Amino acid sequence: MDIYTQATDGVVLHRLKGRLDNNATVKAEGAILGSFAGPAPRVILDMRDVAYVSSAGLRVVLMAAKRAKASDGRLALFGLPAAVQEVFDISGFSKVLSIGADEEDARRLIGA
Amino acid sequence: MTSDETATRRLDFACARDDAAIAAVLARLEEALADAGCTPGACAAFLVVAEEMVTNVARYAWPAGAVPGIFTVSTVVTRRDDGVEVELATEDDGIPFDPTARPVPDTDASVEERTVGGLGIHLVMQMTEWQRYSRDDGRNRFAVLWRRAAPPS
Repeated sequence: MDIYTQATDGVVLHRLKGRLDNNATVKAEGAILGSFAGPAPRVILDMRDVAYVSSAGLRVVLMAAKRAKASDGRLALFGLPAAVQEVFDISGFSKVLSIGADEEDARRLIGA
Repeated sequence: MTSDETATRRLDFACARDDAAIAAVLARLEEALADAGCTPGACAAFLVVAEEMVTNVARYAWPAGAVPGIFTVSTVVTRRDDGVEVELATEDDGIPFDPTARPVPDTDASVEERTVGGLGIHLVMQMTEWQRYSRDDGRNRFAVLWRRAAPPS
């Protein structure tokens, strides 16, 4: 998994590329959870180039969502491919996370 | 369309508990599915199932650090004119564990209430056609059938 991170105007955007699987969790945890360090963090995950997410990856996303809640921040995702959407639907994540169709949508969801 | 167009391929692996061994087995399975005509999207769905099953055995069948912890991963990939079907099974001599008897996680819980465990088996149960567990001669065997229809041409 490759992660490209950009921080602009108080929003941290992580563009994820590849598989959010067992092998990627350490890297993903470091990059994504690290962005919740400051006060009221606003974080977006660009999922368009994510080939698949396994339960190991779901764990990272859930931890990020918990961090966002705990620190009065916001987390939004966008661009989930079909294989990723399926996993989010089965696990119930689609119901409790802020998921936008595109980047503009995701920015709106976090109030940016 | 006749049964002549059905092609079956069997692949068996002896897998160790470490991440590199698991990644190698998953890479071989991915190749086999691509060979059978699976689209990358369909392959991705199968790989989620395979990763969950394999990592589950590797992590929990034996106490942490126990070696050798070798288990088998067997697959039968069947290509038909209407899609691809894979029977995937793991077999280990670890502690008895029936994945089909696990409690279903509460997928309606809020972010704050949700726990991070138990989702892997839930994904396997939901993404496959059937699941069978047996314990014989001190060995766990867990088999599933995964199926994907061919994309409309």
